[in-house]
Amino acid sequence: MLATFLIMLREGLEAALVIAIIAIFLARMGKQHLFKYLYIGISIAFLLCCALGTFFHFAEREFPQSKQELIEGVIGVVAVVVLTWMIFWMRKAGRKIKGEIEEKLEESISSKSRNIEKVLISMAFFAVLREGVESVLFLFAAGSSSNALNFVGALLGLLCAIAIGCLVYRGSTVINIGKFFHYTSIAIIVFASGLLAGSLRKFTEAGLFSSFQDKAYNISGVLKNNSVLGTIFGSLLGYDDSPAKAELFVYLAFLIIVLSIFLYTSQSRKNKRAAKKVAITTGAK
Amino acid sequence: MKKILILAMILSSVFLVSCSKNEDDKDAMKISFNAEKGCSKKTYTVEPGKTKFSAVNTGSDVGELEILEGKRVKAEVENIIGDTSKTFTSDLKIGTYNLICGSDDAPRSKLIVVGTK
Repeated sequence: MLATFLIMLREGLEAALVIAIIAIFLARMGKQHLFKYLYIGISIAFLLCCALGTFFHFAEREFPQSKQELIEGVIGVVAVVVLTWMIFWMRKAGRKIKGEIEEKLEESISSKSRNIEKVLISMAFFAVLREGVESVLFLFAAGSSSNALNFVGALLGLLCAIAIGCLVYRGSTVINIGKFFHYTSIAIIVFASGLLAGSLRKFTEAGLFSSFQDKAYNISGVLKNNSVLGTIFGSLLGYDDSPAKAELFVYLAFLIIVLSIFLYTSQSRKNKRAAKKVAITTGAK
Repeated sequence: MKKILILAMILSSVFLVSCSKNEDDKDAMKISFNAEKGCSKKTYTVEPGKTKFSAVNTGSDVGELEILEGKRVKAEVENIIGDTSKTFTSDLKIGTYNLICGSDDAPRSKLIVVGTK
């Protein structure tokens, strides 16, 4: 039961977290009225996955695993690009309206934002589509296994993933004051690093990549991947108890580069602003 | 939204076309494994060309089965629940392949492809 719970938790969290982050972005842009499109996109993807999964199950078709891995990898990379770009875009847009009330953000960026809305909503759609078909098949398999608890576990895992996604979104809106978005952005960069390393693993599993596959280390004695905490950390932070060297490299490279750019640019802007302030005050004298 | 839906439809139809029907499970090369102990046999032998495999998880833990060509993943099935099986097809050339049986930690087996085809 625990094993099927964790598998669905992991698969579900990958989609739920991407969607939660997109919701955070939309809320931050003051676009809560677009949530209905978010729901529509997610629902259509969900129904499409159910239809495909049911087809595979009842037509007894062989599931094209390697193509699935390839699709997952590509959507993963796209998600990394979209999330990272959004972090920097949000900060720029946020600065533009400095001094204005937050609700006016909508007007000042309306021309560009329509395209961004579309990108965000389709990203949520593809996040569900990414793991959806395989998850539906997994639920069928769990349902037809001799142990009924397998199915209960899988279903609970999926529900928990949705709950965690909601919590992440709620948490970000409840304490959405002052510097919070700064820390949210850092958290998203860490999440994106994990997503990128995970995508590389998908490409490996699809047979497209095979270099540097030796394990960089093995700390499964400390925290196992297939434990509750390991699964949650795996989805949130990209934790892996025994990552391949290539995956660790990609993870660290992305994390260090993007995080430094993010922190450096926010620092230098702050300095500039401080310098301006000094100039103004000294000039006034 | 329309464009996205069309793209999704294309993706899923490519997906559907690319899968073959599981008509003859009896002809499939059966590989039984246990996520902890590995495969039931040390070596498996098949003829070159397209072979259908049936990965049967005889243990209670969830497991996976991978065919490795050197270090490259040639074919794989994952998330196989205990007491269930999954089938997959792989087009193999003459040679020796490694099998990941159940999990990374389990002992590996060999898949030898020999024949005249």
